[in-house]
Amino acid sequence: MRKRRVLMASIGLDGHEMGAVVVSHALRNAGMEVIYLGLNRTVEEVVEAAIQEDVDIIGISSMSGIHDYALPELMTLLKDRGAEKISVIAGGIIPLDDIGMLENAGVRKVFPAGTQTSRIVRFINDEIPLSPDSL
Amino acid sequence: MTGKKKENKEFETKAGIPLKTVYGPDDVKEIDYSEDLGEPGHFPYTRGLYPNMYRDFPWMIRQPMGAGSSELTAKRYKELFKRGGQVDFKGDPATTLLFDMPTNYGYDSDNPKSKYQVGKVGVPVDHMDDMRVLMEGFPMDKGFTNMVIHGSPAILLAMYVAAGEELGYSPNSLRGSGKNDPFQSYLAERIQLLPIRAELRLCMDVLEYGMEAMPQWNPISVSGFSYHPAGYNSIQELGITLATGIAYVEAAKKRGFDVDQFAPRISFFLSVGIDFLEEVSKLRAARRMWARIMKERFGAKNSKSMLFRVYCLTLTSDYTAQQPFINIVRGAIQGLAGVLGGTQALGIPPYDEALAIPTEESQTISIRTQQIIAEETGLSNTVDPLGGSYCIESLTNTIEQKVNNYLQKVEGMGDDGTLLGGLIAGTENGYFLKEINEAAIKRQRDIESGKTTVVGLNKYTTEEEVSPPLFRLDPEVVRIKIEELKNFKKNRNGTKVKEAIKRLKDVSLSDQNVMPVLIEAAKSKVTLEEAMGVFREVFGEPERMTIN
Repeated sequence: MRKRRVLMASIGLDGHEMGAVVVSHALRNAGMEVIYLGLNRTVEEVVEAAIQEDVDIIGISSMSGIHDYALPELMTLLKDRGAEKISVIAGGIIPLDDIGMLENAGVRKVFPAGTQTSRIVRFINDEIPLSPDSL
Repeated sequence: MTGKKKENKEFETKAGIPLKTVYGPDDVKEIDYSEDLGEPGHFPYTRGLYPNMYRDFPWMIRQPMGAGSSELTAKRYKELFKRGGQVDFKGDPATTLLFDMPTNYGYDSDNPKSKYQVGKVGVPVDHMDDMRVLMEGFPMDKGFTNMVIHGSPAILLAMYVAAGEELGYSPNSLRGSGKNDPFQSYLAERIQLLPIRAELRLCMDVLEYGMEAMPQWNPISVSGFSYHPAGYNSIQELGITLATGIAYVEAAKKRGFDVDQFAPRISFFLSVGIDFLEEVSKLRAARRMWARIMKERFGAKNSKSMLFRVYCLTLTSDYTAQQPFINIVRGAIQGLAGVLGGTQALGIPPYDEALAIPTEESQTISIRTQQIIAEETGLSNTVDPLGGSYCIESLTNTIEQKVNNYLQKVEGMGDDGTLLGGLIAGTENGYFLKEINEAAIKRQRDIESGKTTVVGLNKYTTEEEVSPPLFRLDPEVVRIKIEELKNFKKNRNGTKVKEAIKRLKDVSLSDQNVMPVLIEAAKSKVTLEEAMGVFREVFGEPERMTIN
């Protein structure tokens, strides 16, 4: 069975990388393939890379309040490109009150800053199965 | 509390210093009082920079702030001042300003890259009028303005000076400090706009201009703070802070400046974390080390060159998004460590810092925390009350040793045996980024294994119910800013702008100091992005440094 492929990125102008670095490391340790796109990406760049790299999951780190616009935009663009099968998870400085809106927009799960990486790994393994055509 | 007896290896500080069961006279018998401690206000200043410390004047209460727009920030500043916050030693206004990400990255509010981020985490400053509106009503000569600028310190300072003049303040009357720490921008903030050597040139231009024209301004604030949330522990944070301070002194000397002329205007910015004993000791070690470095390494004669004047901010990476109200307690304990460590200024990020920009209410709690420490605890009434503690003096010594090891390591990293050379090498080859990231990974591992307890996060957790009331940026504020910028560009003299940009390009290509021309450019209504565009064109893009 092939490894899960995860694209990790941070959208917009922000240098707070620690969360994304730590989560990427944990996912790799858990046996996933992580493509680290890094900082200051646009929604378009993320979607483009995700499609090209044929990932199962996009992980977005949002530390400067961009989540409420960037994530819905990301979900829309994925749909427009016919890439809805890619699951999106997000983490960072995201208030509890915003989580409902994000999940309604299609984000599978939001992990506020401080969430233990083991929980993120467990969620991915339990809740985001590999799609049949990737086995 | 769980009923398990702890293993021996669990008794260590967050930075890994083993803690003895109890400290006693043996641990301090090698200490010579006058050599190693000294009276407060005397070399090596371990016990405090000034003889009377807070008996004369309290530390500055400076909460970092900034959001939405200049008007909004100025309004909030005035409100916090009314509540007793944002004051310097004499009760005059003092503030620490944060800028939004587009400003930190050198983009105007109307750039597509700035979408959704205008005013989100700080004040948007596109041009000198924004700066003028921000500072209107603030006594720029009696008060104290600290600007935490990442990517474009020279440009923002130029706009600050231009705005000051328009408001009736000559540059030589302006009191305050600007971060202006390119290594920190690169390695901790990860905002890399120009090649590091170009950043260093601009950093030195600001220093030189400060020396010549702004005697009340601290043109460099060596900022260790952000390395700590980024991954480093306290020892590494102090290590890179001192390394960077030394590097800037070396760079300034290379330019031909006299140490005793500029060193008195270098200030520092550090975190205070929750490991109480370690943090108090860190500040005492910092003072002693900087004094010794300035005297012995650089031959400083002026005692003012030896003072580690520091602004401490409580460590936000110790805060939790979970059960956020308990961050009030963390802030108080960390703030206490800052005071017992002898800080000159203190900021306690509010409890909702892990969730959003603070509200006025959460800022007020932080201000009240400082006021309680200052006026109720009695700690201000005597200097360095923990001095002489067997544990604290021992930890202060240990931290000094370990930080010296760090400095030696960095010295060996370049070709010329200098800290400047070592920092440049380690920045360009990715060494520091890697080390910081690895420290972050280790810290997370310790939390997830339970070795490090974080209350509310990996122990004593509850299911979250609701967010506390959070600050929300009104989109209308952003729309107005962008509209205003459009009109600004329409109304300015296009020819003047073109000429100013040309002159800025010429001076950047030369080896002349850019600041006078940059200030004129600000007055000619050149925007932040246009000025940054000149630097980008002349100096080129930095190498993209990402690990993984």
